[in-house]
Amino acid sequence: MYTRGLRHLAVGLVLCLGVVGCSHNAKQGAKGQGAYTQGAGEGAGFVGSEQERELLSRNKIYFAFDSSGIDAGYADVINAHANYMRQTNRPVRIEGHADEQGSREYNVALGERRARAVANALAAQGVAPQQIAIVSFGKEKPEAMGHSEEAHRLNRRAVIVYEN
Amino acid sequence: MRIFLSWVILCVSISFNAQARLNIEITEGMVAAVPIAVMKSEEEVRNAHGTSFEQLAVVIRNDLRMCGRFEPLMSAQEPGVENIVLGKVQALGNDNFMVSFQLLDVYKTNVLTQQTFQGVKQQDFRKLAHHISDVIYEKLTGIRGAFSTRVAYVMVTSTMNGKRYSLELADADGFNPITLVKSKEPIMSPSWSADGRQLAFVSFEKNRAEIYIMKVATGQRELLSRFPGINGAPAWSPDGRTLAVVLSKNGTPKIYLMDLMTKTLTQYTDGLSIDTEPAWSKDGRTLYFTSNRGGKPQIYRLDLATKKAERITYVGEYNARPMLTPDGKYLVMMHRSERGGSFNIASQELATGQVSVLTHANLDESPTLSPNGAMVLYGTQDGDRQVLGLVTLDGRGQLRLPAREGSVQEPAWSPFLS
Repeated sequence: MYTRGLRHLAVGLVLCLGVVGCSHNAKQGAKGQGAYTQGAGEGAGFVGSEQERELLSRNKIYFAFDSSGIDAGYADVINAHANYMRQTNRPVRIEGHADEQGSREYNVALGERRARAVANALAAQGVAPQQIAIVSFGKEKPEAMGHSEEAHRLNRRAVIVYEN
Repeated sequence: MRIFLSWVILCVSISFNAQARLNIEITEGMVAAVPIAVMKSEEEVRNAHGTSFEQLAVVIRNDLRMCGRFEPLMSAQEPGVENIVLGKVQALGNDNFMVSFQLLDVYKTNVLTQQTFQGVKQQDFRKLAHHISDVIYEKLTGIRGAFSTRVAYVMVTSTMNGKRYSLELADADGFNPITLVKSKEPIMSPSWSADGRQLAFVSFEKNRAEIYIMKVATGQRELLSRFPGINGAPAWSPDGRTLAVVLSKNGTPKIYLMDLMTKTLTQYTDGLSIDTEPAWSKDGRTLYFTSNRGGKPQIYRLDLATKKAERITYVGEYNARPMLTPDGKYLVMMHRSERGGSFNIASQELATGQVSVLTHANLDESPTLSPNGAMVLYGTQDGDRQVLGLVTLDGRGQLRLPAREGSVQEPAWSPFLS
């Protein structure tokens, strides 16, 4: 009995450490994006596997040029976030971004299309629309500096940010 | 020895822009710039205060260089000089100066114009110099000078804790910058009211888009719009009663007009496209705007009475960010000729549809016109920083205005200020 308890404790500790690692990454990702936010997986009442926590630590979805279509490869990530949101009811903000090409306000609109696409995908998984806020920063907050194709690709993104 | 001394003075006066955040740097030659000598008159008597017309001449030469039409010189001995400006400052004691100048035609030795100003304080020298530049410019070109105007812009600096954004306001030559708003989140789209007293802008301080209007004299601001989604691209109507804004509260970005007295909103475009960047015609009856309703961003004209839109740009695969010249004859815009090409500033003659590309770097954006329609200030890249560029509407004069620190973007040229 005691050994089983200890084993559960050990597993629980590993999971906790894993969670701290995950949330640290999420905090790093959220740095410079305004209000301090905790990562997914730290909220009370969340129950999930290690694989789910790993998916939750991924909060950025990247887009092709001039597109707001979500690649099928992100389905697992979106499902994981949708599960978490439904279970915890935590308010979330989807931030949309565009690369540096084009006019600023038009790029705000492009960024919003991306954020909306992610919000719609989450709502399709049963997340309440009132839980999701959308903001687009257009090309104002690039993550990758420079003018290369790679920098452009890294800036065409939507970011899932949990609010407190 | 004397020539060496005057060149030293010239070099010093250019780097003396240490106070300004926007420095004027000539990086491209100007075609057909007319040499004009601006200097102190020999009659100027050296006085105990050490003040001299040279203090105004520095400012005047910078102004005339900036507008792209003139090559200001410190001496009339240079070949090709057509006009000379001679001035003098007389100290009357107690911070009371008399400033006078003459604009002369070298060939006919005519006095084209002369003016005397009394009761000038030393702190007013710069403002007076800009006024003299206006007078000279108008006399020689027939166009009202825009040297006594201001430019609002967004400054972005990187700190250890992330980026800092500020909305700033400076004289048109970059001097006397003041900070109006400071934020850890982006600020966008500064836009002047027609009387030059207010600025509208977009702020993300609250991690969402909001539109504010601010009284320039007091810095006092009022929140106008914070709907869910986009609140962007504010543009004042010429009569100051209406603000055109872009809102996506109903799903996609559409253009609305807000009555500034009652704050009521009326929607003016519809459909599933992105409509943004409204710009007013001078008579307040039409709006030019960017829309992708035809597939890619192009510029459309909206008749406010009928709410009907028609496409205006047909040259190039991307046209955005329209702005009308004061005479209503030309559209200035962001333009890309073909897919994968560079973004540049272009003008389109509305009567003929003819497009001229004015700039030649890779990522030129955010054009703003001087109130006399003669010059375009715009954003351009310098390595990994944003700087401002200046080009004349005929494309002939080009300047770069790098900031001392950080990036400068989204310039907005004020109207004529009384």
